[in-house]
Amino acid sequence: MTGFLAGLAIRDTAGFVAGVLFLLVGLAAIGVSGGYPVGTLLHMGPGYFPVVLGALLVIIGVASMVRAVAVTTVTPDTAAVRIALQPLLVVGAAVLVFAGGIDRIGLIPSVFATALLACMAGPKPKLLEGGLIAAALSAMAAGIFFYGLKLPFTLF
Amino acid sequence: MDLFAHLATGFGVALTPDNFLYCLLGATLGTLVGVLPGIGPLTTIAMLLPLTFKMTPVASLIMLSGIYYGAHHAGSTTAIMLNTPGDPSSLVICLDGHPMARQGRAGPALCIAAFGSFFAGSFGVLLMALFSPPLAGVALRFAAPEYACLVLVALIATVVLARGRFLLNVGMSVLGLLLGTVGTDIESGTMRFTFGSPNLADGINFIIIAVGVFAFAEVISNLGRDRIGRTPAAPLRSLWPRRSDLAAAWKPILRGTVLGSALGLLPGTGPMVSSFAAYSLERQLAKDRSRFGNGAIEGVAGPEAANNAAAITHFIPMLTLGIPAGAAMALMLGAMLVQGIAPGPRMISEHPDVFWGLLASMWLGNLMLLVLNLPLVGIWIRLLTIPYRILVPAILVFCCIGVYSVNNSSFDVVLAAGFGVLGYAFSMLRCQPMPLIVGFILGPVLEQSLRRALLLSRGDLATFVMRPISLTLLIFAAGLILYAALSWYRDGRRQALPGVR
Repeated sequence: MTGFLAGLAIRDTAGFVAGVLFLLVGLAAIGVSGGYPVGTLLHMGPGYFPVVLGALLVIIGVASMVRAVAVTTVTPDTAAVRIALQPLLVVGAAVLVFAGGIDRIGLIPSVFATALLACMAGPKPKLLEGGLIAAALSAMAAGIFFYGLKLPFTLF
Repeated sequence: MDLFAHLATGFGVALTPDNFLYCLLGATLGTLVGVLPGIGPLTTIAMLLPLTFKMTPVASLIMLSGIYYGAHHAGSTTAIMLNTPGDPSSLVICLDGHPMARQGRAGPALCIAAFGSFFAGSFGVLLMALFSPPLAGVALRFAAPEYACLVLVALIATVVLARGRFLLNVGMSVLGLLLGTVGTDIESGTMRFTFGSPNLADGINFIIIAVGVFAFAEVISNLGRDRIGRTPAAPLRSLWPRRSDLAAAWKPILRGTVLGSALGLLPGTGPMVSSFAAYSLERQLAKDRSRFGNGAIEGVAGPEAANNAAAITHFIPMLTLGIPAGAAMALMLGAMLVQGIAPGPRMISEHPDVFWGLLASMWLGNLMLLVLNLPLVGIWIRLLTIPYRILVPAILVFCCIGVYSVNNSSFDVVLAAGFGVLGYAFSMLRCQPMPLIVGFILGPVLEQSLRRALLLSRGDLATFVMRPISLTLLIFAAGLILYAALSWYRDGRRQALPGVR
């Protein structure tokens, strides 16, 4: 991917990728909402507004891509960026663990697992510290949300 | 006089023990979370939102707005003491506030900032009390065409005036509008973009998007940085400013207050642009410009007053027109909808206790901040030493519980995770999430009012230019676009404010 972009001599990679993203979402929106009744300007159907928005996104996407290729100077603003893969995956996983656990194993175990996992998102994770934080947060969550605010959770 | 009767009602509501406590709690929590490293006001609001679900509408709004301005004010404290702006709007406070602190004058800087804020906040509240009812009165006469044009102006102002690149902002705004169409179409009952999932039939709750693109994305990008830049706290000796400080600061405070109050009303500008504008204004007016950047008290007083005045007047379009002027206001609007209150021209007359109670509590909250911040500044500074890795699990857990408890749906939590990844991608691609969330909130309003307006006019687009108010709004929109085009032309690829991205 990087080689391909370098071949096109795109200096503003971020702008280009954003353009591609807009273009794809726009096309998908037109594709999906084209299936709804579009209607006329007088009687807009449920598809009218999304189709117009999709078309706008396509235009904006193409414009961003053209602009990204046309840029000649590299400013710090357009320089390439490094993706924080580990935090991305660990934070994502921690949230998904909560989503998967909350209806099955209850509030306390879900919070504990999520917090423990979240402690591993940083550069040098410490297991014992993570366990303590997770335990403290579980107690706090139960105290505030279950006993305090009386939200309908099951504890275990 | 009507105003006094209304203010009396408001203070009556705000001073009941419960509401007073919630105001104090909100301001304290806002300050507390606001000074924590790497948590901005938006994340703070999104994170603490679920705490207010079970409260009465007034109490929850009072607490949320307390959190909002508490977090705002905390930003300038950290800017002065540690050169770390808590939020973008206190970025400029660093420029002169921190040098002052380095020179051992942190106390006067904090004190002037706090008093400037309080003065500006009080002025903002007064403006709100004076002008909201007449503005709502005008807005009451708005019909569908006016609403469509108003939303259009708000969206255009947001993409033109928000930081970041114009084209990408437009893209984000349209993406937000598109996300707003997910769910059941009110007029035809058609399920749009639900892909057969009943979980999406009611649309996406804004809290899911807010938590994803603000809180989760912020956590990921903070962790991705090598470390959160942190300098040791500056020493804090005497809090009290000298007589010469006061003499130098009172005019900038006045100017900042007026400037901020005006800019806060415009969608997309808000506190951040106001504080930058006030800073450059003070620099322009100064006899000796070289003092700026080396601890000029004017550089703290003006922007901080502007920042806080704008933070208050920011509420006016949201409360009177139902048009949020920024991301934080979009969150507040969403929170009000959760409570069953639709902000808009009818709110002041239909829920006077909510409007005036909120207004009175804002003034009380600003007073509390004055009391909270100055004597307790030592405690807040100590909070800054909490390592970020300890905060991460707490942020995630609070956000997960919050998102889940909106609908008791674990699907929402999965969706929020997805928006978190998307939000992180946006921050990598330098796309601002603000136009997206404003577009998302305003999208349904725009679509409904467009449809209704065109139905009433039998499909004739001329309806928008034939009505005086909507014509005025359209001219305003055209002016904004012209302004954007001119500044695009003037500085090539770079947009508006130098140094702000």
